[in-house]
Amino acid sequence: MVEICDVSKSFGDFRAVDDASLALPKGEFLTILGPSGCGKTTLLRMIAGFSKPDAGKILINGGEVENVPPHKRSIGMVFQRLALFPHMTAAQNVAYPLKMRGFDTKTIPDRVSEYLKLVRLQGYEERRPHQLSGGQQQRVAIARALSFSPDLLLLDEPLSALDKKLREEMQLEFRRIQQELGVTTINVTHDQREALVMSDKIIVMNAGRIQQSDSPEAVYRAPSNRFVANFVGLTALFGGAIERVDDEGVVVRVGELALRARAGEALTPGASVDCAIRAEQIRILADDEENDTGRFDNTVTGKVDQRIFEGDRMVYQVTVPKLADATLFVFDHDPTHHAERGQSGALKLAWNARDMLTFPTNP
Amino acid sequence: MNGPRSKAIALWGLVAFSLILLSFPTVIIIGASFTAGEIIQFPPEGFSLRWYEKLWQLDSFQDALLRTFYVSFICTLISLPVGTLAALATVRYRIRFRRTLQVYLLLPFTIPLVVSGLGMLIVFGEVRILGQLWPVGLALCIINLPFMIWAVSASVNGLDSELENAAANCGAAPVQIFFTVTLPAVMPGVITGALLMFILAFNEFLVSLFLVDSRIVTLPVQIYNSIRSVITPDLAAVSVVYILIAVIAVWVLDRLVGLEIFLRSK
Repeated sequence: MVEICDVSKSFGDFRAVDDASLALPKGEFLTILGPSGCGKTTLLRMIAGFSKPDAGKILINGGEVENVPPHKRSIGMVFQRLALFPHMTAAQNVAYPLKMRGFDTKTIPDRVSEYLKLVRLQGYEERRPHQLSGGQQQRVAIARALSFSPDLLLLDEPLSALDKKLREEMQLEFRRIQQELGVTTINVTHDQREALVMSDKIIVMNAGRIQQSDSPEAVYRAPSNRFVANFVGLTALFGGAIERVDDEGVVVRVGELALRARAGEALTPGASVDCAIRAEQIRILADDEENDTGRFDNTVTGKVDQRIFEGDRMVYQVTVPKLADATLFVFDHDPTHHAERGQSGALKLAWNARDMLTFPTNP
Repeated sequence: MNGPRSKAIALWGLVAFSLILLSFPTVIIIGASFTAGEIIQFPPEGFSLRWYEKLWQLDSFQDALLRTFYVSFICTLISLPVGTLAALATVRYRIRFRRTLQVYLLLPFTIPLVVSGLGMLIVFGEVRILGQLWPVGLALCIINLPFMIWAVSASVNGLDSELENAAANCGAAPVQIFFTVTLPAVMPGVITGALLMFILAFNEFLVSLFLVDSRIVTLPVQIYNSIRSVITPDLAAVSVVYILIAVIAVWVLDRLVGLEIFLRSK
């Protein structure tokens, strides 16, 4: 459906998109995830036709679109600032693409009400954008992008301006509509939760380059490099060196300790690596609890530097002197311990080898 | 003086004084125009509409008024496309010599009107269009165009640049985008500018003085000619006609643009 081959785009000396390639089958929901300035919006705007790649090809439905102007592409787009036409009512906004694309005028009113129904906005036809709430404006923008049954739907961070509750509601709404219509969709966001919740497939971008292209679960559970591990989830990262590799995995030397980690890419003893461990994989052991049964592969003792209260949980930021002062993050979901832990300062932590990842350090 | 109360009284007093001072000439002229006497005076001597009647019966006044309407209409008509497109081009697009062009378009405003008038007189004389009425409209458009450009630029600045992309994405070709999205979005500025151009042309005197002769005299010049002979209360009546037209313009502006801005506000 959509194919991007070795596309690059520079603005002056800044390489916004660097040799990006992807392929998206019909009907799938793809999210391009990355920090601001990573090139994800630039890539999206090239697909929409608002700018042209310096190098590489973009194919939609098997045809190259280099010389197809935006208004001749069958693409619906929901813009970051929505860009609803302020002088038109909700119904007129939704009817606009139908008129411009030469739909039979007799069928337009039916189509408009069909799509306003799809986004659950019946009864708001005659309102102008400023008379609608943020969520309702969002729905008009979705209806406008979809009313002419485009081959492809593009979402340019349309949810970033909404408050958390509404944003989460709209994430599910987008997913429902996308599955109902089966329209191929490319979404762009910096919100990892949004990417995980909505997508069939996630592409993680950084500094113009595609870092990983995988299912949401694979991106979360098996990040392909240090950047992805750090960007998705709350992850502690610290440097170490491979001590040995055996049948059960690898042993990494960090500071004074040797830790067991998941077997990763071909690693040779002595190679320096970045270790990554997610906050939710670390268990807190009671002070008198010994790891004598060998339930955990690694145990360390650290000092609580900071306690961050997040309502349903407490996040501790723990410094471990024996790990060359590495900083770990730990979740504490048990409110009965919140008061005492962190006051005492010391915390005993444990985790398993399969939850600790190693990536070769970038030269 | 004590407390916020006396401060409020002082402030309100100042506001009232300013308002009275500003409206003083207008009030006096309006009052004087209704006089029943033979000379302009305030307070008026009795009340009558005789000077309005006289004004209306005066052919020279009626003709001058019609000519002024015509000139203002021509001026507004030319300024609409020229000013709107100039404002869009200089604010919106990264064209070459943008700054220079902006300054150049505002130049007529900085030149003394006497100089402009003389210049137009020479140029219009060279191309043999002196003695006609429409060149006066053209001249007034040229000297007042900065106001049109300012008014439209303000609207263009407030325009979300993404709207045009959104229209393209909806399948609109560039010309369709201009008429269905860009133009409606900057309409408040266009209306404001057009009314401003009309009123300015309606009132303009100095440049008109250079370009009209006795056969095509416009109202401001006609008034000037009258005060050089005898000052009679019909002049006050003419002034009131002017005030009335200005009030109508402000009302129209409020109805059209006030409403439009209200609709656009988010």
